[in-house]
Amino acid sequence: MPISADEKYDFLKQLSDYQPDTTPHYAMLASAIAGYSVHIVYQSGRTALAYNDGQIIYLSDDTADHSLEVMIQALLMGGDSFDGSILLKFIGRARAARRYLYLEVHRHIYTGRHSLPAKLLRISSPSLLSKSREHSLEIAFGREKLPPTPDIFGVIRPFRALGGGGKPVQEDAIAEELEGGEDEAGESSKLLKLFSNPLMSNGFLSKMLQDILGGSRQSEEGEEGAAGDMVSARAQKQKGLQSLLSLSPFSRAFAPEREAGTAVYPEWDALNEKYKENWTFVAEYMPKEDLEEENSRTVIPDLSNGIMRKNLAQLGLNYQPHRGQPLGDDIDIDDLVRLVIDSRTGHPADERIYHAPLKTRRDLGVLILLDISDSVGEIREDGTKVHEDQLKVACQLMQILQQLGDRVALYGYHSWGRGHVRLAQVKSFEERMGGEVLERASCLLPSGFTRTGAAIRHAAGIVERDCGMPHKLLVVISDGLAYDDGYEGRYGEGDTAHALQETRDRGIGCVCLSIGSDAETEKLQNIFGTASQLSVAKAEEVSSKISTLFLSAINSVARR
Amino acid sequence: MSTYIPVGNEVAVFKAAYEAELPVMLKGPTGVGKTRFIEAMARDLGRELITIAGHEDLTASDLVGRFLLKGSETVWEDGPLTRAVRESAIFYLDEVVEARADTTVVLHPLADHRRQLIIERIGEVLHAKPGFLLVVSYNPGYQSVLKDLKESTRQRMVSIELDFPPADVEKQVLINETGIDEALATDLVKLAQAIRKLDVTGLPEAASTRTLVSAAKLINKGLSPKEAARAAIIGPLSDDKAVEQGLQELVDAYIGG
Repeated sequence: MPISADEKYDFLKQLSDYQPDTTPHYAMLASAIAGYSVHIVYQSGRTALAYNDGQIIYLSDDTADHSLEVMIQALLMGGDSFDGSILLKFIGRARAARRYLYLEVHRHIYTGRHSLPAKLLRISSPSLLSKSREHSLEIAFGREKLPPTPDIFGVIRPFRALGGGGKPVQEDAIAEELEGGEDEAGESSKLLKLFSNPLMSNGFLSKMLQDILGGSRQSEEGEEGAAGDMVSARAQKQKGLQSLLSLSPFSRAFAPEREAGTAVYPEWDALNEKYKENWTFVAEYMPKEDLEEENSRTVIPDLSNGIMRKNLAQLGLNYQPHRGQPLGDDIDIDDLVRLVIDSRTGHPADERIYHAPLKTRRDLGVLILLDISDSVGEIREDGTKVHEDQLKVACQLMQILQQLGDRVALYGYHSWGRGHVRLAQVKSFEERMGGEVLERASCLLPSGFTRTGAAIRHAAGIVERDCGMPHKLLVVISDGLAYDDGYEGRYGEGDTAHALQETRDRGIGCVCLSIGSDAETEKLQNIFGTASQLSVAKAEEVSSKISTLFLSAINSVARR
Repeated sequence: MSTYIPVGNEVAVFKAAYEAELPVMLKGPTGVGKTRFIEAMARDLGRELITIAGHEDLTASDLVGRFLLKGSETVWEDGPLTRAVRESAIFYLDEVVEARADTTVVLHPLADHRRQLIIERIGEVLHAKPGFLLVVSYNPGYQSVLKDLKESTRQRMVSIELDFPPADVEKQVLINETGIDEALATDLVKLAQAIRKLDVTGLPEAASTRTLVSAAKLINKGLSPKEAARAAIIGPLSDDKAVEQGLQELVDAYIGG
């Protein structure tokens, strides 16, 4: 059921990210031009370009005069420029979107010139470039030279607009559009990668989107019931997309309707230096094979790795000198002197005067958090994927640590917006490493985005609850940085770093491994700490360096 | 003397009602041009126009007449309604809803086929001749619930709905009434049309043609368009600070200078 603008506006007022327009001076102007009642919301702390979602206009909260931006957004809202199928065209096509905006704004100004305000008319050129929205689309996706789109025209945000206006999305139109094939021109963005998995045919893709956007909640048999159930990675992806595309932060579908087993966590807003309470929703699931999907499984190679084993073995088995032992190879002189004096003076003598080096095992529990977002599924030049390398290292670590007597767990993580963060359980602390665990590992399907902070917080909870060892370690294997809906740049980095700090404060060491990708090593080091981050080009290089990494992390929390 | 520019078929309906000797109820928001319309009709039909503003203290005697003390005698003086009936003029009761029900009841015999005015005080019954017309006006958007027009009264009347004219007509009206230049007239009309489209609480009355005329007159007398708009259009519309600010933003957008 679509949400009314007023309900959405009230909901937004509760979120700290959005501030309602407290001086309602633009709302009237916007409503007059749009032809229906419109709300204005200011986004704090960003100098963002204006945009709308069909019901609400979003402005940056600086002190500039926004009247032109407001009028332009209202103009678009009142016109016929956008519907569901048109918005879809602009996902990942920023250049075409900018051009379309330019054409449509000028077109509406021209056709409305008899009733539009003088101030707005002043920005328009008298000649009419486009006669209709179809004409604008044609030009926007074409090569004809256009003047640059001014900033005051704002920006098109397809995900927000798809969720917002309540305008119906026509299934046939979408299917047609998507099956039409890829347009060569235009930029692709990270978002577009979500839709262009090379393993999928166009037919499958359009059908999937059709299912989701048509509002159908049937994904397939074996659909995810409660969180934690067995579900294929594809079904997880479908559900994730559905969650992301359906009304995003305004959805009452996720805010009150929490599935059983979903945990809620806050998120740290670095810019405003405070938490956003009850912000992210995390649940676990167990990956199972996707029978409809060919080539979705990852082959796990032979896990024996002598070098790594030797390296890690050193970690736990250190001989430490211990004084005051009853038996040993060496005599401690100080203790001996004490003994003699005591005997001489008639006191009972303590005969434990030897010292002996003893093996002390540093009992260790490790949770491996494996990034299974869409980017690791990309095929590199040599035909391999980052995911394969990461998975190999993760499984080798798992096996070796278990053989050495440490407790280990492995979870994959990915997300589709803050309402849908998912951890795929490959191995819990209790389970034994074996066939079933490897089976699940091979079923992991890279998809979605990386909301690392939320995953870390949830993983830390699992460690605290299940680890059962005095020394705890969280190992994040990721090719890159935090990236999700509303979770990018400094905000994403800030929350990830903060989550790590929270985890360390709980006595859990944190490290990051980056394998075979052009990860932003410097940024990762900033977030994790130089000593707690390791970037290597080949999986093999991890083997000899891993213990140093672990050791520094364990030591840093042990000192607290 | 300005002419009335018709918007729809209101002139035809009015004249037909006049010929058929049926009373007329003009419905429309304040400032839309009801008075201008009736003045023009009276002129066209060659009838005198007698206007009374309806209000709460209006009594039947105020309409019909009363005895007055002159010297030591009591002398009957006709009220405006009586005079209109006697002289076959057009009687126009503006804002009929504002008057009390026991006052408007005197209109009922005049409003039906009898077309009679009963003056009990002097025992006279007047019959209206062709040429007399009863007209009342009524603002449906702004009325006190208690003072709703009685069904029995309403049913007796032919109604003409006047609404704000389309932009080009309104512009013409502005120019005719005030001689203001076309560009300014265009901007003022655009502003009024935009305000009318709003559905805002705290804005009970939309900007009317009358306020536009006032603004234009102020401009003629030397005020800047923005100042004139503020004084004549925004100020009268609302006391709510927030609403005023919203309207101010509208003025800034629509009115240059």
